[in-house]
Amino acid sequence: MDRTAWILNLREPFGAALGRELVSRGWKVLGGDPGEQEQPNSEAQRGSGPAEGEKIGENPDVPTGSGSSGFEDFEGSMAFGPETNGRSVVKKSEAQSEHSKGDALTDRGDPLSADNPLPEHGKLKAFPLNPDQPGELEQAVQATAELATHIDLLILNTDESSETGGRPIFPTDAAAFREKETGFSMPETVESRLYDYETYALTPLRIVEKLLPLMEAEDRLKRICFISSHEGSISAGGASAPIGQAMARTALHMQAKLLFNDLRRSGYTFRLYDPGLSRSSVPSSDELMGSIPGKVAESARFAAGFFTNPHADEERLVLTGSRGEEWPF
Amino acid sequence: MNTTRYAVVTGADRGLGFALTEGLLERGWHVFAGSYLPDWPQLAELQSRYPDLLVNLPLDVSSDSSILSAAAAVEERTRRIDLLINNAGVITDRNDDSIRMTQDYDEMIRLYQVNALGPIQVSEAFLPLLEQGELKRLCYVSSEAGSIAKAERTAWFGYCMSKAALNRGVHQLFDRLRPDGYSFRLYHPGWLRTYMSGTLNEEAELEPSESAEPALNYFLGSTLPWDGKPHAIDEDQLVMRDYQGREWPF
Ligand SMILES: NC(=O)c1ccc[n+]([C@@H]2O[C@H](COP(=O)([O-])OP(=O)(O)OC[C@H]3O[C@@H](n4cnc5c(N)ncnc54)[C@H](OP(=O)(O)O)[C@@H]3O)[C@@H](O)[C@H]2O)c1
Repeated sequence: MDRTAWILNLREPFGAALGRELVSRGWKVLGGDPGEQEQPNSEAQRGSGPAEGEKIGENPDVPTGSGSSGFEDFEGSMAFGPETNGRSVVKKSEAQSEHSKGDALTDRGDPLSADNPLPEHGKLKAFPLNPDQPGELEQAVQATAELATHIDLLILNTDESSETGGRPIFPTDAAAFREKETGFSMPETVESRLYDYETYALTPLRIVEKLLPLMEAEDRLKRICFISSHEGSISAGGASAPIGQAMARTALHMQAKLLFNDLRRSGYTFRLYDPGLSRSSVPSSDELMGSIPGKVAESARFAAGFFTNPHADEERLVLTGSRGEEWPF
Repeated sequence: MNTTRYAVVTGADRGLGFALTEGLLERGWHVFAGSYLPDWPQLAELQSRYPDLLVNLPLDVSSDSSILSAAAAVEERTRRIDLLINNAGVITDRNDDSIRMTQDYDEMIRLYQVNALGPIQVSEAFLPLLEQGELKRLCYVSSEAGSIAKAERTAWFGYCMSKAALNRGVHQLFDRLRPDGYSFRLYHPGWLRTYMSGTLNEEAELEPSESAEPALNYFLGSTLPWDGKPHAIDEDQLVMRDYQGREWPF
């Protein structure tokens, strides 16, 4: 049975690394990203294998999805469940049927799939998705439904890389005072805080609402994963993140809990994950910045196991870090 | 030591905010009452009872310009405040919409602006006045609906997300301002016979005054009573307490 994951912000470094990791484990991966351009007739059904052109997550510094690390079998296996966390070895026949699906897509004019079949690998496809743009979410949902009859794994990856970019900044006297008080070089404003709420809390909810009908089938995995940060932990999140961002992440945790309360009654399971990549986790000196791609890859590898394996206790929703640590709400 | 004490209360027209305002006036406080509903008569009546202690000010906590105007109006009358009570809050009639129904995101944004961002923006705007005050106490009316650990609801996205986010924002302010001598109160008032749903909720458990009384003891005091004895409040821990003094986990 083919398995499909859908990732929000599939081009963002963590989303891309996770996408590639899942592809290498035999998953078909779809997703939306604000950086994705509409490409009529030339949309790449891109795989993780070598190919020309731009490839999602193919940052050479992010050694994800190579299948060669050798220690992935236990990563993310906090589950202690019956399944292993190893990469699934897709049988040749399955791979071929995957490929023939790819061919169907190739009919739309995708040279990469034709030239680079992906034996033992899934497929990866991003749609343009900028929640600020009216209609893009609906278009992404429609495009998803055309490529997949169902979604097994929905991954709400709130975009780390937009943390400092793209914010509407309208400085006010209060903002200037705040900046003096808090020492943040970028003053927070109501507008920036609302933008945080949209980015970290409302966009994920909009996507759950729209994609839920594609997850409903009885015999599917039905798992919703939220990528967040311990910055949203009310008591343990510290004071270094901008308030608006920390508050919006907490709102996301509440959202995850409410959905968990509702949907687990219909067989859904949930993950709430801190990849350990937020500003308060990653030292910002230039020297240490060099290790970030490795950290992204490692965290994505852990996440892939954590998200695809069963968990020993699906009756509890816990914010879990990339070393398996638990954060309080 | 200065004996004149100044407080600001948001959402004071009716409900809990009005009861808190009245309780402070009875205790001899000068109160700047934030009024959002100019036509509602209760605050005007209270003003005629306490003409020297009560100042009613227009205040919409979802508007930065209204917040800044209110702070400027307070600053014209006093150089310091001792107590800020962030009470204003709103709910929506879309609470019960499950995720399988079309969600109203504009309503979620409205709730977030009033319930979550409002109290933070108000706190930030009044910090220069609080800085000069003696008590330096910041109080927030939150809700059990903001407790993620205890959440049992299956919808109520807008309200629950706004109150959980408020708790996080308050904790951040606590982390930053506690070292400067500020102290904090985070309060769940119970289920109140107030106007949150637009009309008076007569089915609820408590009159606003029944919650305002323990609230003011908690907001103004330094101890909590249990086992019949007063116990010092640990000002270096931020917890959410309800009207019975019980702690709610985040
Ligand atoms: N009632 C409950 O059972 C309950 C339970 C838990 C927590 N709480 C919290 O308790 C607090 C007080 O609520 P309440 O029960 O006393 O409700 P209420 O009677 O509706 O009082 C809230 C007051 O805030 C005002 N307000 C609304 N939007 C405002 C804005 N943008 N700026 C300034 N003021 C605004 C309201 O005006 P309008 O009347 O025009 O809206 C009202 O006067 C709220 O924070 C609420 O979330 C209430």
